[in-house]
Amino acid sequence: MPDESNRQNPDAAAPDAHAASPDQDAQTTVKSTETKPPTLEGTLKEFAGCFDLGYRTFPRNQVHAVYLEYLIDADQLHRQLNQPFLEADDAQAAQLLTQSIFQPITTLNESVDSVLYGSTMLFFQGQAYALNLARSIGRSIEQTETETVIAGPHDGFVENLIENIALIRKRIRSSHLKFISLSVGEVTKTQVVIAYIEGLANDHFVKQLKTRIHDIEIDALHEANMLVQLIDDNPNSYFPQYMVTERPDSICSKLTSGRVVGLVDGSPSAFVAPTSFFEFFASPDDYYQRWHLGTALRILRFIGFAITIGFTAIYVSVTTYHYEMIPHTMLLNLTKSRSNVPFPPLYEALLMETTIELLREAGARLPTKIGQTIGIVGGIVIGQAAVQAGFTSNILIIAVASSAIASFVIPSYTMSASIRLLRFGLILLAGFWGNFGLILGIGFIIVHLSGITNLGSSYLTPAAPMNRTDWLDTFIRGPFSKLIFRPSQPASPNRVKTKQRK
Amino acid sequence: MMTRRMMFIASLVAFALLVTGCRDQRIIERMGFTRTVAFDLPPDDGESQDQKDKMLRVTLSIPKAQPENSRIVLTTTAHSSKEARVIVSRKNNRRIVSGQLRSALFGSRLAKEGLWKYIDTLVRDPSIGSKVNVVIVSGNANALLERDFKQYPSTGEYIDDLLRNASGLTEIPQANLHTFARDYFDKGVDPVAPLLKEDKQTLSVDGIALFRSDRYVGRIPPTKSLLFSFLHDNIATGEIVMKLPGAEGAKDEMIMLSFVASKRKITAKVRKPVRSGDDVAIDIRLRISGEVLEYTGKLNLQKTEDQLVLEKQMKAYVEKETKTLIEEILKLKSDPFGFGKKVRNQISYREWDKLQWHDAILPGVSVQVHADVKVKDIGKLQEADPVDEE
Repeated sequence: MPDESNRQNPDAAAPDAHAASPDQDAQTTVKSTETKPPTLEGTLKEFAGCFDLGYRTFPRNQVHAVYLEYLIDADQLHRQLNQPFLEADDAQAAQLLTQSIFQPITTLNESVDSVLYGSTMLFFQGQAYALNLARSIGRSIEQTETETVIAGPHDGFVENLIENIALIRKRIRSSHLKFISLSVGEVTKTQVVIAYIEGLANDHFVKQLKTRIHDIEIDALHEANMLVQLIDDNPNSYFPQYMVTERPDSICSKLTSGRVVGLVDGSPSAFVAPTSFFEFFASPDDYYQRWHLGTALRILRFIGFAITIGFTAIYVSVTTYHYEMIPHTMLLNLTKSRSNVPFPPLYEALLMETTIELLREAGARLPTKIGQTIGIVGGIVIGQAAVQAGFTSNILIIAVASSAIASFVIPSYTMSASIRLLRFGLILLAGFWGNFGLILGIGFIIVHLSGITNLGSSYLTPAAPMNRTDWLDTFIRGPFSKLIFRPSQPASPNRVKTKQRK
Repeated sequence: MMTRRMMFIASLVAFALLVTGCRDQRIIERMGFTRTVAFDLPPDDGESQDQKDKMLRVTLSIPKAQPENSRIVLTTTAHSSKEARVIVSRKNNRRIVSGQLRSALFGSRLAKEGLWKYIDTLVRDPSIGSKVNVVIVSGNANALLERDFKQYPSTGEYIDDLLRNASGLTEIPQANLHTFARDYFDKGVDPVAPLLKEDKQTLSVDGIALFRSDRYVGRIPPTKSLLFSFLHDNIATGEIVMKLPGAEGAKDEMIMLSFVASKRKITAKVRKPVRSGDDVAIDIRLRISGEVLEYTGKLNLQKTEDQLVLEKQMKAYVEKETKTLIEEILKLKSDPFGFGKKVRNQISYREWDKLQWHDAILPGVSVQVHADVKVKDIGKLQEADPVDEE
């Protein structure tokens, strides 16, 4: 701080504030701040006990400044506040405060909020002004760890909302790109921003998302993944209903396809609405490669999905009930390796699947370097030794391993985690009822998926309701010349992407 | 309220799972899968009356995982095939199941009495696939399956591989439970099956078994089996050796066609009402093409004219041989090519139903074969242009 002598300890200021309104208790203070005029005393009282509160006056005028020291940029503070006001007398100060960077504040509530969001509150002759000096806090833009691509931009969202908005703005140079700011959390007052492109996004979805976020009742919000669970259509469903990503390029493509995007301060994830089930299988990579390759990759992911949910379950059902289905050449090997195993296939499979999940969870919690060690120890030692010790059959190891690997093909971490858990249900059903149980389970999944909605739109679009045009950019990745229409799910008022010149 | 209902449903589900969980499990290592089964009559050597009543001798071959290529062979005498399984199950350490059955062998003595009642149980059992090979054994089927062939993997696997190979080379027509049951039920066509026999150290394909309905009535020797295949099916690839009569006094010329593809078309001319074989004229058109890989004759295959001559010779050969083959088959009152189907399609079903197709009509049917043989290629050996040399 440039001028130590003028800086007062907030603890010292607090008793003064108390003296000004001695008969108010905490309850009424909170309520009355809605309409109370913004006063220095009131503001100081709200921040009583905050050691990081900065409060200073200037010797030559009556200006009082209140701010949270670590939220604001010291340089800016010096340049914008200290320098001009140290030398100014009352008349000059009044003149200075007419500048537009000083926003007049009318209620105590606003004044407190401004301080909390990184502004400096200036009190002068009964008037209150907010000067935004917020400093960027958190790491700078870097690559996302969870959603890497090989070809394509490597920047990812960070915890800092301002940086994230800048990333989007930088990619979409359009004045139609709108941001709505909301705050969620009674205690945390976390800033949530809804972004959409006017004219492309359907107003219905924008309004609905706004209402839902506005209606959230929660004390604290820390993450976008947490927010989406609060605004789900089907909160008890098994599947993630909003696509959450850390990739700005992906978010921008969602915006231009007419979807609505939400950002949460303090979270590197942005969410997209409305989302369909199949979007979780698309990666930005698909668009950065030739369309044949992109198509192949998409199909590969759907195969991965089938392997993830089905492979181990099929092993269980086939070895427990349907020995007829096993090719004869494999049968003898399987019997040989199974004959050393003391458990029925169901327990064997559950045991191995749990082991794999343990490995995965342990690997995820550990730093990268140790994580690799865990992978090797788990993969080689447990895999090899378990078979040799007669703990499991080697075919099961293949099934478990390939379904674990296949689950990581799905680009969305939340979806891949859901599917991995789903597998256990299918394994149990396969163990109890064989292929009948397996089909029953898959039937239930399809029924459940069909029932899910996202902001009122069907989760299974474009399979149900059927939309063939969308298929070109869902199950395959068509060439750009053929991707003329925006997807049907966001119900964009402007369906045609480009009016193609002849 | 809601929670009570949920509890109810949850307990119901748990109950259902627990109750059904333990029933009817077939955990693979506790099963003994029959790979091959052989049915035959008990040997004819003064056995007791009890033995005589039980008219069926069944051998099961169950492969074992360890040691490799080993198997369990169990033989028993019973009234029916399922009874045999029950009897054998009493002896075996694992539950005997038939879901991995690959081949069913029938002894020729048994086959002469009719196979359908044995095939019926196999087709009826849902765990048995329809691609199970049906094989007739010249001789004793039980003995064949009980034998181990030292040079080969276990006998069951040997039989399967042998049949796959032979039918891949169109030595034998495809014959499995499906085709057998289909041809058995279809009116105007009779099933066929491959024949196997034991040799000193090996098994060998012994031609094709002909049936009248489900009774084994005759055999096509292996040398004629490709000709039979030409008439029985369209084939995509095969090999045929033809013995063409040489010029006067000279030795017979041998010609071998490889990659033979053939198409057949059977048409029937029916004079109504059908009273005897004279009223039915069958016309068979064969289009055969192949690559010459061996030729011992005098013709110069590089000359187009000579090729045409050769084609004509082969055409004569095929027409003559198939005609005698068909006549032999018709004498057996067997109809493997489905002449009856062609006739049936031209008359009303009531008329067809009254016909004594096998006994009265079939032996007298007149058959014409028109073959069209083409040389696709004369192989890699190409001499210098003969025209230039002269």
